[in-house]
Amino acid sequence: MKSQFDIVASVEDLIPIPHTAIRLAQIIGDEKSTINEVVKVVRYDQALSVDILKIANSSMSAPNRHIGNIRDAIVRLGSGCVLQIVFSKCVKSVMKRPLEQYGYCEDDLWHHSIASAIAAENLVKYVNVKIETISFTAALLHDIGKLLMIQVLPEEKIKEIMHLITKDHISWAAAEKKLFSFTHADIGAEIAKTWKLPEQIERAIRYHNRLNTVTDPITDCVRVSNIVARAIGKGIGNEGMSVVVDSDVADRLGLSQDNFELLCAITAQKFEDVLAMYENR
Amino acid sequence: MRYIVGVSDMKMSNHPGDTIVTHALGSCVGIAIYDPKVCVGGILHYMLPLSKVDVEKAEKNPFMFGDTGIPELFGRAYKLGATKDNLRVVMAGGAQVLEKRDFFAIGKRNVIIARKMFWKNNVLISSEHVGGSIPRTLYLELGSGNIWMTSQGERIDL
Repeated sequence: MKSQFDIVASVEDLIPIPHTAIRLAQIIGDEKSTINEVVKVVRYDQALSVDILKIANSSMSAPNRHIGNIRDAIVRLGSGCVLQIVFSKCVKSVMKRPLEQYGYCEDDLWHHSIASAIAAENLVKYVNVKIETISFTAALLHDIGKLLMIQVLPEEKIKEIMHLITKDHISWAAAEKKLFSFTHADIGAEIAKTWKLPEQIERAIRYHNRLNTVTDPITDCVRVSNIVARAIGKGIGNEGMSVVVDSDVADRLGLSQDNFELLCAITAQKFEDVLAMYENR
Repeated sequence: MRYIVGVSDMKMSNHPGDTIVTHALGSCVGIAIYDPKVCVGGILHYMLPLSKVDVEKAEKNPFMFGDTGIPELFGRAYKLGATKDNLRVVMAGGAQVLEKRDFFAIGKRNVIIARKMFWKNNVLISSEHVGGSIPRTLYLELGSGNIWMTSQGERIDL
């Protein structure tokens, strides 16, 4: 049987990541780095510069004046958002593919990922802890491991997983763990490592569907965002709602139940506009 | 014709050749109603229980919430000639994440609001398949009045 490391080894063929993206991930992940270093890298990538300017001037960013230079655009959006723009471009086409094993039709994983990123971006308004903006990228990529996990999921394994989640009342990820000793989240975290993404992103991807093993705000943010995306019907697939979460997440973040439901409504409302913005790039 | 009901959406028909379907019911609830005497039926797919979280959004789209979507669903069926006494009412969905407390339990709250409203208005639920953590797709065939759901490849008549 393939190990998780054999599986992750195939990521370079499936999702080529340009040098600019890896360099930006390193800079943004380094606490000592400055915005000037981000600007320097982005300036050399013309297509990326155009995307960033477009998004900084879009109605979603609500600018009060036209932003004409890349430095102002990056300052306006924040480096966390720049990282999200870069990586969404890298993964978009592969995430749009159907993943029959997870019950995903064309676009389903992409829509789940975008909805999660929108939820992460909006969650910050309703919590009383500081959540770094790299959480948007963590939310966007939290299920990236599913793209490779399918290599070890023939039909009979899917049946076994479905049997475990309905009969033993465990989560889909826990069923994967039982059958393979690793989950799509572990694969996703290893992919993040390969891409040299900040450690906080790798950690959030690895632990987003495990109980309180890790309790930092970015991981908690991804846990909530994943649920919000499902609550608005994005990424239901074969898993449905079989995601494990501890309600302590809400206590740690200071999120009220009303605000959680409001976050679902807001994410659903913004979804089509944000999706259109990504489709038109 | 086959009508697809999206999330926070409702479709209704009185044509015997039509089928109405709603996919991806996770914590959302799908309510199917059908009056066999006049062949009127519809499916509502709502996302959240109470409109109080965002009254403005509820005014723009009542189908996002249970407390505004359910009256609208019944009201539109009555306009097409359905009567309360003849309506079959079926509920599916309301799945939940696995947690010890019920903080994220939108599915449970979505089911409770429907039960409360039906109880208050003397509406009996004919059949239901709710809870758990499984995904569901709900179907209503106008010609036969058949209502069923599928989940993970299995068909269950409701």
